[in-house]
Amino acid sequence: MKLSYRWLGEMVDLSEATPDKVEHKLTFHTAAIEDQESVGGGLGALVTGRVTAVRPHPNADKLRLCTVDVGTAESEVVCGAPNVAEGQTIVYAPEGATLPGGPDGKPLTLERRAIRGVESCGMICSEREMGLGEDHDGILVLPEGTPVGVPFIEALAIEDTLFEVDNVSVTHRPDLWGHVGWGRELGALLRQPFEAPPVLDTDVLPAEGEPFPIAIDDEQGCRRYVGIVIENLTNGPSPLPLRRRLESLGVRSIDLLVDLTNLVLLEQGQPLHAFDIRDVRGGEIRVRSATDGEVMTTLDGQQRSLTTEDLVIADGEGPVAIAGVMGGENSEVRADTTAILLESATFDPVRIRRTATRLGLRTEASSRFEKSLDPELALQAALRFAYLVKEHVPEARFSRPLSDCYPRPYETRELWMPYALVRRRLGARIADHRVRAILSSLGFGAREQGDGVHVTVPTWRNTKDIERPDDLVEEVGRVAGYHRIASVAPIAPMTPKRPRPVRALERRVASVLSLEQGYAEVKHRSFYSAHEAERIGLGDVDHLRVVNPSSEEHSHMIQTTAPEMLQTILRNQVREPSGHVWEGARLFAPRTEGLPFEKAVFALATWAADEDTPGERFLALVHDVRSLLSRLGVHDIMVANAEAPALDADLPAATWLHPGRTARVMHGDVTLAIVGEVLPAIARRYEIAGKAALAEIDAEALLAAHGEGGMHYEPVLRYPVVPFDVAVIVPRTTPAGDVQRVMQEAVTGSIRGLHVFDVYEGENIPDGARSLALRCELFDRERTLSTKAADALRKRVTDALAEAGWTVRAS
Amino acid sequence: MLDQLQALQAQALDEVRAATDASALDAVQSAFLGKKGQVQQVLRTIGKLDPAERGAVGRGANEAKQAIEAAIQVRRDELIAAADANLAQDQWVDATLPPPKAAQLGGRGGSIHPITALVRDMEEVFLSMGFETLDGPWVEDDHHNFGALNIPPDHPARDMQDTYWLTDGNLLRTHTSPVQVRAMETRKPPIRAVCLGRIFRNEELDATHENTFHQCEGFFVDRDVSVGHMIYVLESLLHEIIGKDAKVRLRPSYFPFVEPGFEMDVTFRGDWMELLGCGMVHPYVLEAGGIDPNEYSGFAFGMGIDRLVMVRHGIEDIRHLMSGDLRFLRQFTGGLEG
Repeated sequence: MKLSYRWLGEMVDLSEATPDKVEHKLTFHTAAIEDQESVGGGLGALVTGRVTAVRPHPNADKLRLCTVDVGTAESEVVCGAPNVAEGQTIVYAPEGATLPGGPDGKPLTLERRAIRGVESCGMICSEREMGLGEDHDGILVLPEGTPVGVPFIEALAIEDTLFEVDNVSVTHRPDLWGHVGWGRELGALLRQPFEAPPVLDTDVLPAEGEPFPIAIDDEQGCRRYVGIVIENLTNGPSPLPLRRRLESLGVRSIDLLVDLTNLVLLEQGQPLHAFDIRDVRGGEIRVRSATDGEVMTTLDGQQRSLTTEDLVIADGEGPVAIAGVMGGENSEVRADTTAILLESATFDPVRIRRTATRLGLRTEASSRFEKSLDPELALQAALRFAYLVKEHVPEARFSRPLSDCYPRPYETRELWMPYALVRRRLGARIADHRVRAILSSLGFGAREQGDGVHVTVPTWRNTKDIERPDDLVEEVGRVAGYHRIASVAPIAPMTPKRPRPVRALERRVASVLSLEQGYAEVKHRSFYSAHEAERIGLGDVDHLRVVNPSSEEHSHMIQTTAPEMLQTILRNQVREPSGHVWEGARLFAPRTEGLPFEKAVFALATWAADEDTPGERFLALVHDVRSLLSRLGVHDIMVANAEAPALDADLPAATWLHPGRTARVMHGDVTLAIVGEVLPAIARRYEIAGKAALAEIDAEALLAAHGEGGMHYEPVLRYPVVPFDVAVIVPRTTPAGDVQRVMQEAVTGSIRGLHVFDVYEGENIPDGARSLALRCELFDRERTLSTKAADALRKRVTDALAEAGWTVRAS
Repeated sequence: MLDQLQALQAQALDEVRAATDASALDAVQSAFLGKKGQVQQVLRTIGKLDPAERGAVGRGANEAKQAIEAAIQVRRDELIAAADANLAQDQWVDATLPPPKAAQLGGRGGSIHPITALVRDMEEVFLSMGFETLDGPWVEDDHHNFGALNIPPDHPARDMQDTYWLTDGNLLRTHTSPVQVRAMETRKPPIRAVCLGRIFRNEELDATHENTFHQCEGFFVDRDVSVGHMIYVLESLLHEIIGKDAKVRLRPSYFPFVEPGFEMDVTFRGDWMELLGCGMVHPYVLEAGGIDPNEYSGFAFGMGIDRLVMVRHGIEDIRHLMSGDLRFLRQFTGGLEG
């Protein structure tokens, strides 16, 4: 929304102020002014002049020679405009002046030159040449009585500064959707009187006779409806100053009557609608709910289908406007309109907002009504319009009394605010009398009562904005100035606060992965496209979806980090043939009620251009997950091969992972992580060169396994250990982990450091089998292990292996 | 000549069918279709033919070429499918084995995302001032994201936040303020808490617009909490994050969940920078959270982390943050202490 500095100056004395000062005042005490723009700049050299003589041009039929009197001197100007005539007051641009709108749309600097053999000294300007409008059919003729020989920008009040208001910051202030509200604010801030624009004296309206019949059928939808019938009008183009005012604020000039409704909208913040009275069929107006499927054509030419939620203005035969949103095509004011019914009403904010949203018709009117306008404003704005009409069309007649249906006025709101509340909420001391003065200057009734102030809320702040004493604190605080509030350390109990366990875990995970294991942390968005779901093989899986995505790329809430990770691998592998990244993400799945399934995971990915040993990316990632868990103090981990495992019952099976190279990492019965190589078919689909492996770790399960920090102490071993190697032949798909477990359980408490140091397949080993070489240390916690005792332990181990059905090859 | 071509084609197709791996197929391809391949050699002799015959032979050669190419492609797909079909057996790798030494990683190239780094810095400051760190669900219900924050349905303030609505009627949280509501539901004052987490706004992406952001929400509810206290806490934070000489100022602003509401600006490299929204928790919000506004008051603030990260490091395009581009990410190796 734009504000005109000049217009504000008509309500508050700004002779001591500057645009910068006003901008600062408003920004720091009312709401953010986002931008300031000067208009009328560049026209400073133009002066008003009178055409004292017009003669034909000797060499051209369409050109004329004009004598222009600019008060101090006369100039001879060649002019091509068809409308130039003796006696006109015009705008004269002397030699050297620069005009914003030259013939090619670029600025034009005037030079003395001959036109068809006659020297022209300066120029008589059209609107377009001055950048004031589109009209280039002729020169701009100024109203009679305009003084001659004065700067044009002064004579016609062209020069102005426009402020751009951040609309969002006045969402709660229906009174600030017009200049009057800002004028009132400025008066309070500058401690200057505020003078409201004059309105029609109601005495001018006839007291006798029938008011125009208006009925409100839907009182919930309409608090007040004021109608004024104005006759004996002549419509036509608006005078220049009015057009200028509207156009500089971004409103296109239509004709006088429409322009005046718009002027009042910008001034008062009250939307008005003028009906041509010939089009109000049946001579009555009714505010009612639309019927389902009722159709009308709005003045933008669109046919609109309505529902009972919508509110319409109907005449005797049907709807003529969608209340508060847009008028109908059938009742628009026209060039030959001579009598109107002016509507100034207060509609229900929620109804208007819903209709405007549903129809996609957010208009200047609807955006004001949805802010909860003051019904008192409806009358004031109608009388202001009537005043302006009378000013522009003196012969206009008011032949009928005012129609005013006002079924639902707001109750007057009285509040009591203790002075102490200001201090308690703001932490600043503001003198009692100043509290009262501030409230009064904003239009509140304010008188002292006990230790506080009794406040009557003005109607324009009483529609929802000011409801509680806290709301008054804001008024006092902002006008007094927030810079007056000093920083004060709060006094609070010294309760120790540590990071939440899950947050602490996240930090440790980040440190281990990024610091120790060389992973780069990435962040990905939490959605992917339908195409992506299809590509990873989840096309048939029910996803939690976004109803209104701004892009198809972001329609499905992720059920796995795999697609984004694969994209990241693809994006990086050109420059980085191998790499490792991780991310803290959340996975989502739909649920039938309440909030959906949402799981925090740590996702890891690693890739390499090629492998020396098949599956080494996979094994490396399993290893990294294990060492991460171990660094977090989670021991007793079980790793097992798994085909298409799922991290959680609510999540899909990881079908994008290689069935022979995927593992489940367990802690007891709980799945902590899924780790696997990317399925070749998926890797091809994502154009991954080489091998990639992915892992997802369940953060919550990890936290549970992690417990209180996972420290576990065993007394330091005081006796020597006996090394022990064993080679065992097992079926090819028997995991080494099983062999280790058998060994471990055979001599629990006497074995440590058990690990595989060689795997062999081939000569001397039967087909379908392999040899595993394992190494460990045997010990006795209480004494040095004797040869005999060590042999006994070895035998228990080898017996257990044999019992498991495996051949011990050497030990 | 045409007979010769047909024979070649038949021979090639036999060999294609006999191929059992990709390299055998490659051999067939070069033997028949390569530059010195047999089909090419036939074509080379075309010039010696009667001009009337040339057309037919040329066509025949092309048809043979296409047939062989198609057969190779089919066989390739078959071989891939066959390989993929038996992956579980043929390519089984024992997950319980350690990786070869060469495949293990060496702690090179690790980095922390700049957002995570800033989040950590901020959390530490808050922890040192006795704030709890909280988080909540990223998918929220209307009540926690809007209703309990004094933004009922059809409130114009809903326009302030472009919301992603979900198929189940819930939404992606548009701010971290729902955490404030959830905290009040389960806690009694005094409450001092922050939430640093992910939020979503329905925006088209470009160099300055994202749809995934990170926000720092903080709030403090106790008896007689004032705007002065809020200034103190935020100043303290900014002195740690931006610099000891950072100055702040408040401007009036509107957020439905606070009253009064402010924007806070901070001095940054000699200029005022718009930084965060804040205010005194609206009495309605306290009530909705089960806290008596006559007894308690509080302040709350919300700050965009992404923008602060961008100005902190001079990042020129917001899309880098979510790009996964290692050229970007690897630059953030500082500030890694656990």
